[in-house]
Amino acid sequence: MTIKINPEEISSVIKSRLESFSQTYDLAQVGRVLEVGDGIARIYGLEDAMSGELVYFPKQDIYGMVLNLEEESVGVCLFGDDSDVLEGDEVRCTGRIAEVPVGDGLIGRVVNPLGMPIDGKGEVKSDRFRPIERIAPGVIERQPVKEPLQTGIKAIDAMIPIGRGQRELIIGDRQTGKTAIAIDAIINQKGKGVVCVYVAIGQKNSTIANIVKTLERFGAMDYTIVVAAGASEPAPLLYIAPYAGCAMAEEFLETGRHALIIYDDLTKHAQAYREMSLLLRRPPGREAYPGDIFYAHSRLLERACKYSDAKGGGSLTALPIIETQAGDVTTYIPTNVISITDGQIYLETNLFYQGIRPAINVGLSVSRVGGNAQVKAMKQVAGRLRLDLAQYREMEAFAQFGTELDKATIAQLERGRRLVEILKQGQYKPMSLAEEVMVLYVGVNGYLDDIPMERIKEFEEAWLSALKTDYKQILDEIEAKKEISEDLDAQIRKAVEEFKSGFLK
Amino acid sequence: MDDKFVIAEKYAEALFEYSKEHSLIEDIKAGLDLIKAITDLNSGFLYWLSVPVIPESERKALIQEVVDRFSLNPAIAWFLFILLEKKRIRFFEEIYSKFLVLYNTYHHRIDVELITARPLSDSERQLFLHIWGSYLGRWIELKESIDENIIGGIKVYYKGWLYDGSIAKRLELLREELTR
Repeated sequence: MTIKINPEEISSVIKSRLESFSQTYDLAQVGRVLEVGDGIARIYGLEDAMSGELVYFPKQDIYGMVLNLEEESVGVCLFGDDSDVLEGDEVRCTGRIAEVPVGDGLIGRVVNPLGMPIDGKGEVKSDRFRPIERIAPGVIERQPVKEPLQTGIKAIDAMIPIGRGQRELIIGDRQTGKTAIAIDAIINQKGKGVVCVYVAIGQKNSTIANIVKTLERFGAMDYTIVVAAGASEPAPLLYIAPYAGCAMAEEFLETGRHALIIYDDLTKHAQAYREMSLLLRRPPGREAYPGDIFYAHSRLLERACKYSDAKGGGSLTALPIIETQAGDVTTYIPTNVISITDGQIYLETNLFYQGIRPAINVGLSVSRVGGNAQVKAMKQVAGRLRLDLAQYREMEAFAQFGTELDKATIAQLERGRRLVEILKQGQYKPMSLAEEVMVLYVGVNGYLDDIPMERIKEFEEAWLSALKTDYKQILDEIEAKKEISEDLDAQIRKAVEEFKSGFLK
Repeated sequence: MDDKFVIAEKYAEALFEYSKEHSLIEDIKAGLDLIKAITDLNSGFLYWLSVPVIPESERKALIQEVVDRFSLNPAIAWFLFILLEKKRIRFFEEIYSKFLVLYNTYHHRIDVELITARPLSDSERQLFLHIWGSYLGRWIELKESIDENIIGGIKVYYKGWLYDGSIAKRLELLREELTR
């Protein structure tokens, strides 16, 4: 196809541009590089530089961010390769605080922490920018969490419910399925009007590529932004990645929409910040982390919020991830982040290898505010679930001694085992609210007690497919009314009995 | 060494205060100029003064000799002795440049570096000094250099600021404007 160019049109455009070209000089504050190394440069001059300001290295065409303001020099972290930067090189103030492009143009894209595309799909279409750091919304602008954020995972939605605007920590050792929970939560937001931002901090590039591919496979990239700072990136980029991702998500919060952001993971973020701080010669504290590591995480997580109706009622839910070593949650970073968030989902290696996946330790996991947001139907089934499981765990300890047990205890143990079985869920298989409620309903109401353990999974699958075909009105009613009325309860009981008699034949 | 500027500033300030109180500003400035000239001519001079292998008395004797030969103010010798004792003589250049800043501020002068594509004529220089002197409100200590890459116009460095009115910069801005 040839493009027809109207020469007159082009030259008139250029002419008007030339006429508007009034700036005939450039005035900038400049400094000189004193020393550079490990992604950190020390600059002499730049007397008017602001903390957090972007500075520009014209010779190398890279940017940096001012972090330390000292008596005679400023400490700058570089967002690029430092090997070309030489002593004496010119550095310019830009007068801008570090910012990233935001808006709908980013949805479906994979960008680096500076908002530049790295997915080879061309330029990011966005003309709006937001500073990566901002003060979290105050008390007046917020309201309590009141809408649920369904993760599609039975165990979480039932016992550790997450509300829109909540900060729920996902914590556990390596290889316990932390990322899997986050990805399932993203996949489950399809069609629910929640924009997701996945921030990968210090992960292998192959892992990031895999995650993007998975999200694409489930059509989740249509409402997701991936901010990737891989392990090969310098520490300053890892450090700003969560703040940049948060700024992108805040754009949706500010426009009255709902957003979900996942920081995967903040342990690596803390390590990147530690590296930078030590290179900037800030004094090390516990585990050599800088004194303001708590502030680094608290100011980030405080930005998650549920806006009041006057502010548009948007929400930003945050799911930070923390990796522990050998299940130890008492080290510095995990305790910090546990105290900042509104609850945690605690994953355990033991459970994972026992085949309980997601490997959630129900006893140690809590959600401090999500209960308010839980829908009534879920509350009706989940209240009993928690109790039954707590009793089961207590009995289980006794049962291991091999003592003779009375009938009631055995029944309770059997019930507990079945509930644990029914809470198992495959990866990438998030469920709708009604499906979750119906599966848990049969569990807590004892309909599974006479089903052999090895047939529980089969029963669940068959029950779900029967619901979708024969009893669709039940699912529809739960989705619509979000509660189990007495009338509906009778309908469900009838349906379960009908189905069960068929199943056991 | 990031703190060398901080150290240099302390020494320079002390020396300048001393010379102001004793009305020796010009004498001390002349003395420092001369020591700077010597170090520029002979790069080994400062090194020789800072090596610990040579006894301090010998190094001090050399300073005394220089001060005596050029009949400099004795305060110069005392100051250099202090630098020797405190092992800060290697920061002499930084101290000198800090002293110059204080000296220039005291005399309402400002260091300005002017970069042009070709050497300036006398009348152009006078015009520049007149316009920029009134703009900055100071007497200008001009340092000129030539850089053909800027094509035309001027580039001016002063106190950490860069005024870029060169043709090269204007072309760059124009390119940005047209490709936007």
